[in-house]
Amino acid sequence: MEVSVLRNVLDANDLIAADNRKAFDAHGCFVINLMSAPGSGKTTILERTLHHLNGRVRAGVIEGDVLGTLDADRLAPLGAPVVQINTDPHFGGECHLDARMIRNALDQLKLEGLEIVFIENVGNLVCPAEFRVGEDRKVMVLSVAEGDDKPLKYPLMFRVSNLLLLNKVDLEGHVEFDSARFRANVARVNPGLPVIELSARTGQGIDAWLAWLEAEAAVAKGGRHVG
Amino acid sequence: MHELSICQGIIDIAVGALPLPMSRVSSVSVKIGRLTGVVADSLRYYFELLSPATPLAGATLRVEEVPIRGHCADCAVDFDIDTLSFTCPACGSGFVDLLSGRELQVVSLETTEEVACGS
Repeated sequence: MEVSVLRNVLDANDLIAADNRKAFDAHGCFVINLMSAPGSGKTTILERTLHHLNGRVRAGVIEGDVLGTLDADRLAPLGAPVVQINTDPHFGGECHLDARMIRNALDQLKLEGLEIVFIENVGNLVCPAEFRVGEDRKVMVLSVAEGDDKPLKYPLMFRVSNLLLLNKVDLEGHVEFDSARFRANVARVNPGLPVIELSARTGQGIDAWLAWLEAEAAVAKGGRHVG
Repeated sequence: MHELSICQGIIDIAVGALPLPMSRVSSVSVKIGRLTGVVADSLRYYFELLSPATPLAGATLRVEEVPIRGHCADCAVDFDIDTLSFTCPACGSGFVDLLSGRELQVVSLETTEEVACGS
């Protein structure tokens, strides 16, 4: 006998993500899900960002890694509360953060008074694209050292992201990366994706990223009031 | 890479959909869109690993892979996306909506008449 089921595998995740969303909304938090391959510079970008926001905008961080607290330790001195999630305390943990992990982290991160929350996902261009966690915006980072062909190899990540931070632009000329070809490849998978070029190391482009954050937070806040 | 958690999700949904707690399931059918990056072989491997300890013991996982289809927002043409380009083959527009390719769905279960009893 055939039993019809027709249920999406990620429904359970999306329900929890919606609950997370409500918790963030209740406190007026604007939430960024920051995704990239390992080594693209997510943590360095966050260091820069928190440094600039410190004293102006109250920020919190949920830090996702398979193992260890190296990233959380780097961010801890920057004045923002940081909660570390390890996807598995043993080797071979999950390759992404899911909504349940974020829900658990919310037991430790006091949302009250936070205006912006950054969720630094596990370094991976594949799986995090699939899992909603309750964010307002998905922001992906690609560094020029990874090559200009990545939009064609990881199209889903480029399709779901609301912003692409092109990092390590200070390395252009030293690595194989053709900026025009990269823009063309982005256009082939998601022509509406805005790109901000920056260098977290030198600080170039950070102003444009901060301006984007401020503008998008205002849009999200407006949407919440209407809703 | 995330096949383990996807497979656990499939099993949870399938077990929850059993018509009777003692139903014996011969197969579970799922649809996997090609854009998800989920590898069907890995999914079957995890299913073999995880299902014996569940009411789905003995069932096979049938995977239907769904191609990526696009719909051009500018010229309204529907097309297959089998190269790595999401641009419209008719007019070159990059503003393309996805019709399929992101499926991760449990479609149905096949149960046998036989009902397992006791141990």
